[in-house]
Amino acid sequence: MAKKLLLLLFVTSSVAFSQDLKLSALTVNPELSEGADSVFRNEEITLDLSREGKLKTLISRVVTVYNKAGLGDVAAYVGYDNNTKVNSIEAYIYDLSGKEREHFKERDFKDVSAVDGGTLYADSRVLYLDYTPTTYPFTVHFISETTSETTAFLRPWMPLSRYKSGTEFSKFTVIYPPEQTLHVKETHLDGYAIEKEELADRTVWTAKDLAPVTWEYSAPDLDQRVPRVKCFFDTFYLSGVPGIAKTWKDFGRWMYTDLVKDTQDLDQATITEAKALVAGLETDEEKARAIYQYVQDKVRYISVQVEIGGWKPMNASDVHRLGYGDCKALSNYTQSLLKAVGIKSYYTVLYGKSDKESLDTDVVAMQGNHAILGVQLGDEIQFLECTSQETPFGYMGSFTDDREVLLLTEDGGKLARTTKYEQDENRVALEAAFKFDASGGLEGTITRASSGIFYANRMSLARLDQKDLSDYYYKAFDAINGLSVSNIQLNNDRMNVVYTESLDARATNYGSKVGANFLLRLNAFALGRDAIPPKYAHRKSELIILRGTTQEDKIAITLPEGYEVGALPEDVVIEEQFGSYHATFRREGTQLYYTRTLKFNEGNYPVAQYENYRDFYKTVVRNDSQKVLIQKI
Amino acid sequence: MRYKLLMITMVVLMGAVHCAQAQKIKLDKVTKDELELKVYAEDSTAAAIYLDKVRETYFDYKTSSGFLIINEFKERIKILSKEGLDYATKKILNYKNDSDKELVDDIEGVTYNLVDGKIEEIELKKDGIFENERSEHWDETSITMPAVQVGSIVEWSYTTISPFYKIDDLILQEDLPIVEYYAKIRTPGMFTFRRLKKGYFDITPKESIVDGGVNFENAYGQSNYASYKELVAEYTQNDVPALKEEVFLINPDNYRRSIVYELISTEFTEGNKKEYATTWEEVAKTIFKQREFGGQMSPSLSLKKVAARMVADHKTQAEKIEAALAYVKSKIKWNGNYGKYTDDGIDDALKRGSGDVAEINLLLTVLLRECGVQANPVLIGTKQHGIPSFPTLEGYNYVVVGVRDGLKTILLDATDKFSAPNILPTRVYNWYGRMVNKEGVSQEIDLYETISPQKDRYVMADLNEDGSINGVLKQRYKSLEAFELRHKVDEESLETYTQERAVDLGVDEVTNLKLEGIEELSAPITESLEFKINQGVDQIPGQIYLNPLLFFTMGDNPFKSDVRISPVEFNYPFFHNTNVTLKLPEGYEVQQLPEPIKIALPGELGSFVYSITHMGQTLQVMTKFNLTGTFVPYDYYQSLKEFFNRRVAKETEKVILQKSI
Repeated sequence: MAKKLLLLLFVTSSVAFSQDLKLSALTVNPELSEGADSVFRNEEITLDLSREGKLKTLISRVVTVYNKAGLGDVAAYVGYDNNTKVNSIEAYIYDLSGKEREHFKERDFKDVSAVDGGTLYADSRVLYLDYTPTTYPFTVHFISETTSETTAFLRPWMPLSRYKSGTEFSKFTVIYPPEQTLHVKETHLDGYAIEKEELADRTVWTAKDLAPVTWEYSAPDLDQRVPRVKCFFDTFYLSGVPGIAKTWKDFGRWMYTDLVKDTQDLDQATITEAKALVAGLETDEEKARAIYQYVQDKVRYISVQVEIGGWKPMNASDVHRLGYGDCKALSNYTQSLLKAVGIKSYYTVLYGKSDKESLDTDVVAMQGNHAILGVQLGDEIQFLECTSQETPFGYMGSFTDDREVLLLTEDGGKLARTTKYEQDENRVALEAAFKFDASGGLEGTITRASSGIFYANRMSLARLDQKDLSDYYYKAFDAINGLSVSNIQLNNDRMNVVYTESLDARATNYGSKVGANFLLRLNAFALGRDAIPPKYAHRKSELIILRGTTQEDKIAITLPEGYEVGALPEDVVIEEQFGSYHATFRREGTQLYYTRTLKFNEGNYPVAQYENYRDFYKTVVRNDSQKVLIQKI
Repeated sequence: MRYKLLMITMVVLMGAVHCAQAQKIKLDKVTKDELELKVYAEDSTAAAIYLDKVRETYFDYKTSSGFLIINEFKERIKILSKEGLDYATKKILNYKNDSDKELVDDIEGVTYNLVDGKIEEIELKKDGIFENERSEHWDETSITMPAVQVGSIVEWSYTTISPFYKIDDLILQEDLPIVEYYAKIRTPGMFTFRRLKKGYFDITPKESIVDGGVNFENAYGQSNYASYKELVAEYTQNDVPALKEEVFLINPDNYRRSIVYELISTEFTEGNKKEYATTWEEVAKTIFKQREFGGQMSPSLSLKKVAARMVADHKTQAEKIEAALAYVKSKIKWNGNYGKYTDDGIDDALKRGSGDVAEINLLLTVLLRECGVQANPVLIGTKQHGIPSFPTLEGYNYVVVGVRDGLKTILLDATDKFSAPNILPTRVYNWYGRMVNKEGVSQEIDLYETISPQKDRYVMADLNEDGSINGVLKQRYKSLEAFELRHKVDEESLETYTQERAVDLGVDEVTNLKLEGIEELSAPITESLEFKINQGVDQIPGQIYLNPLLFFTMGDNPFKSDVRISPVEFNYPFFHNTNVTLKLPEGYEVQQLPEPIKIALPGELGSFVYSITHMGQTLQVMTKFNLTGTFVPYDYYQSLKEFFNRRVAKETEKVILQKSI
């Protein structure tokens, strides 16, 4: 006890900078500035939660900026809203030698709305520094202090927070009442000079000399590659409303009771209407489909962020009356209707992102940025995207598929995983039948069926007018020179979630004329060189293939009278860890048959595989472009 | 600036007192047929259509604020598909500055649905109206309509009240088709406006002159009535197609059908006419009267000293120009803002070290003049803005510097670190600029005449029997081509650029890449590199099929669309010359060569020449492609597409090499 007291006394002194600030660009460690747009000289971030229900955030950041691209790295701004106050904000500019050139006070910062164009209303605003540098490099010292009524989201610490930016020193301090337990999730700390100090009322991390990282193709996101520390507590406040996060169960129950439950307020007339909709339908699935269709026909998505930091859904009765809402409102409304017809469903919280980001399930906390609805059908849960008027029942696109999510059940929170599409489901099957004519032209039909994750890519085709639709095929099938398409038929099978396109195609000059003969590429849909992944002299990160896929092409070409084909290429079989390529060439009289199957296997592959991956693509491109000689008899 | 009625000096025409307020716009009742409409016959894929887009604009008067411009809008939209639901939300942007702002008032809205054969009306309530600040100068009011489904008709009306003497453009074309457009614009006789038409369409307003007037309080607090004549112009258009985005189109907005009103004069007391911009002379004089333009033209003492030193150090005009340009670039960095008027003024910008276009280029003008160089501002309408066809200030949004040099003009722009005399950022090159001076003399400048972008490419390579090709490429970049390359290599390392070149050219290896002349901003750049292609030809035993232009073969027509709605725009005119000299493998001889061709675009817009010869084991191919204009009208599209088709066909034609025994 005595020890604890002493510590407390010791740390009540104000947060002071722990070392002299280096302000001249001349003193940067060259190893950290090599290839960098900026270098973080000294960053100190303190999250002070010592006052119940308040989060005070102190930021002091000294950044040397080398070029225009590095200007944004300073992040000289703070956001605020009705629940977050800016106590102070200022910035200093230093020249090459470290001499102070300018001092910006709070009133010099621009104060603007931080609402994106798609949102009709939100109260978030931002104070930012609008500074045009007169010369590079220069150094900025940015200092801010904010106090928020929301303690649910603690900014993670990433001592390397930007691509192409090195860090000399970064310090992260979390201060909290001793009776609170701090939960921590640390990732990718190994191999870096990072120290951690745990005191009775605070935990402090420091990092030194971190070399810059650059963006790489098909690599994990930055926060999956560099050190990151996330902090959580068992209790928190959301815009002043207290919440619990000891277990997922408790957390889910709190969310349901405090944020969702009261908003499920459909009146009797609406409930009767919902019941009438499912009258005569037998299975729960039929009923759920009917309700989902009703919602899809009735409502539209509108982004409005208002109650409780944007986390409380709009009332179901309001959605019913107005016919619109955001993801929370529409999921909640659908749930209310399903409840009215006796079908169990769960309001579901998740990250809506195409990189399959899961909730961090090993730490209980407020997470996610999106809401969908999980419907219990027997032992299975089907997930519904309620913001779309067109998504088929139970279909998850790349924005929501295959990730850990939180269901709010009557027994509290429960973790689950959304639908995953396997390699053989993520399929594009293309069939083409062409006639090749004696002037080098090609004419025939193309059909393409897309399912699994590819279905989503086709969903919006029906919106395009004839011109935009034909332009779409000119781009999609750009391996056929001078293509002209007609008679486009789109068939959206929402029940089986397969999208089939068929069209007539014609191209003049498809075969290259060589004397009286032609060179003919059998794969009219060949990948070009631009499909080859970029080359890296020193790639650092592993290769990620997020989803397994299958692409199958079958092409038949009829030769004109009076021509014959020379030697056919040999069949190709390539098998790699991350995928495979099979191509076959056949002839029957004047008919040529070509098939090609290209598969990619989901997985994370070590960095050493990257060059093989490139080589694989190069081989594909080379084989795709194989030609045969069509000779005049 | 505000216009107020002054005591009795006002021309008060005694007339019948009647209300200046117009009747609120009324639309016909929504019909069942309209609600049952499934597809718009004129555009079967339209997600929604404007059934009506109506507006009335007139002037009102408030004692406290002077004349105000009132706009009443009424719009009715039919939703035809689920994508069309987005159009049930309306966003209204309102301008504001430090002292004044536009207001939105009287928002009303109704959703019409057909329920069991009956028309149901649901009114917009407060909960469907949102107010947000979009940016420093723009507020946004959003309306989202209740109970909207596919088939619904939504309708809203609102009024905007503006203290700024700018009549908002009449927008006759939207991203949706418009079935009926109607606008009535009433302008008091004291204000004279010029009307400009944008986009391709014909319209003749129905015009009349009527009596109008306003109540006002004079300086003694007495209530007066001022009557005057009003010019009424009514615009009607039916079945306006939706505006579309296309490739090779810099800004579709430039072709959006609209009418622009520009204030050219005011006359509050008889004979006391104040002109704004009726002739190019007036445009020039008007802009020089503005504090934010002409007001910036007197040099400070310190600038005079800088100029004196420059004059002492540099003798020729060219040297002085170089020195002044370098000086301004070093003193003020561009903050990214456009504009022909300075924001804070030259002095502040100099102090701060950063400024907008006008601050930077007016400083350069003043400095050059102080050095004895006859420099004048040149007004520009950038590509994003469009250019004016009538004398108008509204048409310009940018200013550069022009110096007369005999019959030619040297243009300068210090906002970009790589700019040089007659090598300006590409945003500037949009047909014509207008050089103006204080005396009201103004002159049109053909911007394209001042530049000559060119790429000359020379390839010397060996074709080997195994199909590999290795050689050297020398490429010379002139004028804007060099300017763009300087920017590119400034933003990335030579290593990255080398890799990119390999990808661009589609070769397996690029080595020894060198760039000469990169430092000298007015000079061309010569790039040299060595390349290797592992498999550069098609082969069957005994024969090689070769694309003689190698990586400079245009393999694909950039114009794929079947039809074109808007004109085709290129960034700037240019010359591209290509020469490839190939050494053929021993033991092979040329069996067949493509024929030379020369083709031209209509209207002398450009031409393409291809010729090929061989002598012994040396094959030589040459192409010249030039574009003299940057704008191809949409009705030339098929010719343009065919031109490129023929070019692609020619360039992909193969040379056949036969192995001699």
